[in-house]
Amino acid sequence: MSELISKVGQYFDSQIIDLFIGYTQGNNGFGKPAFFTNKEQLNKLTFNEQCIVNLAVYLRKPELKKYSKIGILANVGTLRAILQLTAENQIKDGQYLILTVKDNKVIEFVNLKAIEEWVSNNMPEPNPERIAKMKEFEALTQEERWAFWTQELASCVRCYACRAACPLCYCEQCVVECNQPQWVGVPATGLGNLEWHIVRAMHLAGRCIGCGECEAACPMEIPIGFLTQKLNMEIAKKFGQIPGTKLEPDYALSTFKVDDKENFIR
Amino acid sequence: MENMYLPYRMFIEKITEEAPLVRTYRLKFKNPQDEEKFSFKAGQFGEYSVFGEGESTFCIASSPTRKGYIECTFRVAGRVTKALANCEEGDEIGFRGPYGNTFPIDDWKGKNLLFIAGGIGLPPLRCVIWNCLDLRENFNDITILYGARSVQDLVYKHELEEWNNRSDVNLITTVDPGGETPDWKGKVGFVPTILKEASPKSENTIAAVCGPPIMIKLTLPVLFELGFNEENIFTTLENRMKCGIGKCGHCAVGPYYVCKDGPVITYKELQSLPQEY
Amino acid sequence: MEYRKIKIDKLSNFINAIIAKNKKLLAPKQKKEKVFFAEIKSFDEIAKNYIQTAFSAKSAVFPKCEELFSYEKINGETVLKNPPPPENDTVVFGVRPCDGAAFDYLATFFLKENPDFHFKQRYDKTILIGITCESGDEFCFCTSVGISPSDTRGLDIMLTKLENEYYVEIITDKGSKLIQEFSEYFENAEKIDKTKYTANIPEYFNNKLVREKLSDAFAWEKWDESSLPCFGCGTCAFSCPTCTCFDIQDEANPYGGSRLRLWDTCAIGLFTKHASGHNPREKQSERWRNRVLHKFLYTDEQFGTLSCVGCGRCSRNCPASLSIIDQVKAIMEV
Repeated sequence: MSELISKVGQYFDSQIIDLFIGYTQGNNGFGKPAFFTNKEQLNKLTFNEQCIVNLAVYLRKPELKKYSKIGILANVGTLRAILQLTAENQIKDGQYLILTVKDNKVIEFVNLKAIEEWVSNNMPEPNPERIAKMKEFEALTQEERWAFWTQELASCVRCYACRAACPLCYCEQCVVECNQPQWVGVPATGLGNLEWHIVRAMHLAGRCIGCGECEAACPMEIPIGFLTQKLNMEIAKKFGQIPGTKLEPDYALSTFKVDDKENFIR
Repeated sequence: MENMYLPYRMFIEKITEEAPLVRTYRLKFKNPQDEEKFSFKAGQFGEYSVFGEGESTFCIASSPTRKGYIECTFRVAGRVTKALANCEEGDEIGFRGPYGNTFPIDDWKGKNLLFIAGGIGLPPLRCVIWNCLDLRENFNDITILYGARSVQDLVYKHELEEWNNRSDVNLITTVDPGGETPDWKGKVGFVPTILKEASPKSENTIAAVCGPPIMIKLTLPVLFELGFNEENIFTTLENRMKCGIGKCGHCAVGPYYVCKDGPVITYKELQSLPQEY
Repeated sequence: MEYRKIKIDKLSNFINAIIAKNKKLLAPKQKKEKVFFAEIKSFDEIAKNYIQTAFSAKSAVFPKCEELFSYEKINGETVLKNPPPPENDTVVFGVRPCDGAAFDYLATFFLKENPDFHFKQRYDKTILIGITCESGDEFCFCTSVGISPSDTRGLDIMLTKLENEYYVEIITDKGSKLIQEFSEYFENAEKIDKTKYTANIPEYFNNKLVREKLSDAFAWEKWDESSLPCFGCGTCAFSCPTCTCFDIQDEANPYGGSRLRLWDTCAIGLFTKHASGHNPREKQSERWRNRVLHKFLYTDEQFGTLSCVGCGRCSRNCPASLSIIDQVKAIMEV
């Protein structure tokens, strides 16, 4: 931690950055997002496995525009989000100073390519509990799955916290905000809730990096991460694409390759 | 207890195309009992709706001195105004109101009145202008300064003519430079500039201003220069509104609800609100 | 005020009897990690050992989706209909004093001026059974806003857990009627001092000074900095027991439809955006400022009461761990 604090302190001293996005001790032992604007505040900086909030969601916040050079402390989820955002032309090389910490050593990424390499060597192990839960879902019949989701999504209040917390939901006008025509029903009941979550899952299919912020943000404890996770699994199986691993766009759902299967066209 | 969200059923008696995308609807109550118990004062607004599309907020642009109908003028901007614009004479629409406070016309008796409006800012003042003109003997000089971007953007063209022809009203119309046509007989220049030129006296005068924010921003210094003080400058506010009765929270500026505590406000009062405008 | 006692084991009988009489019973129920107010069919479903529910019980009187009226096209004419009142009573069990004060605020807000038809229909048929808090957590701050963990404001009946029984305070006529209907489970009692059964919640700031200290907080230069973690998700408003802002939307089919009232939040940009595109609260910091000042200043100016009840849900649920206690303390220190 002291290496991290002194390194970031140096950046402030040499005016390489004027804002550092990191973590500080929150409640229940988890880290919470913190914004540091000078060296003196850095004694509150912390980083450990309990710092799981994906800080990449702040990178596209308009309020950050007034800071000229921003540094960010990234865990694997944040790094993958950064790669995916780069592939989607939302971030440029050199735009941010990106750091991570592994085995108590601070790693400063000289460029985005270095992040790509690091991520490929440090992909997180899939969570065994989630894998077990996914297998449970896959064992259900179509009717059982429909019943499960219809019941879970009935408690959705359409707060759109899942959308606000997702680093990859950055559209300036979301499809649900369009009222001419009203694509997705506004009231938080029945069909409208299903429509919203299906649209969200489809818009994130092949892009979701599995940070789990959507589920963490959902106040109603709806396991919406499983929807995008399942779609990601299918896309990985059929197209070999894993989001948040490459700098070059490789988005399965909007890329056409000559050898794509066409046997479903009758 | 009444369900305050239940609208009156109205039908469109007459449609007037005022300017590109701007229309005036004359509405009458479908149910004569509703008409009997309905009354309003100048400055109030209503929620006009198309069932199935939603509601939209406009002022009541006609004067309470003229019974039997109400009028609204709106510009097509979004989903509901588009649906309203698709209506024809005879079609039914919903109306909730009257909401909001009113222009304190009784306090204005014996004074000079100066109305300044820009573009689509004339409809909210039209109700009080007609109200005062219908009670003309109560007021001293009445001056109306109205400007729009171009000749075709002027609303109430027919009424502008009527006001021009009256000897007891001083009407000054202007269009922005570049907006005049070859046969345009009015002035050319931005409203604040023309106001400065006209230099109306401020003594014993009430000013009511309504228009786009930039026009109001540039008009106020001219008014102060002419000697108007803050309690005598009125405007009518606009904000995102939904319920119209001070509950949904959309129009709140600090503790002040534009729908309930406004929309009519003096400049002095406006200064005391959180500067979110 | 009347007093009763009910033995701990008789409480389940009382609750089950209410359910048996076809009244809707809402009580805290464990979902996964969190506890929500839900309709329960038996006393055993009620959650034990929790500090506070994730969402408040305000949906009993102000649901997330409420029909304002329905309309139908019959023979070319539009027929408008009011929604019917709820058939049966709703009993809400396990309402903490902070939430009770919140219901009190909701009643003032909805009924004082321009009384709300829909709220009244539900409120008249809702009976609130409160329960004194035995403990709190680091997010609770009711005492900082002038409410105590044994406050009876806004409630119809209040239960306090003693050694072997619950002490029952009957506060309103509605509460009295309910107790009379199920009087066989209750015994007479004398008034007692609840202090030793009540949680000790630390005061983080002085509630009497809040209004004065916040009155010029609009111009505080640290709003931008302190709201940076907020990404405008709106969870705070949806879980807050006193947030009342709503949206009005129409849902139509070819034959008619309804006009609905839906929960809305000032935390999102769309809340104040005009059709022209102009938005008076463009930045998140402006929206965050509005939220804080509304709860601690504006409603005081309007109704003479703070609308924050110190339940701590906003901070507990916040995915970015923003703390309203820290925010108010920071402003008061200026």
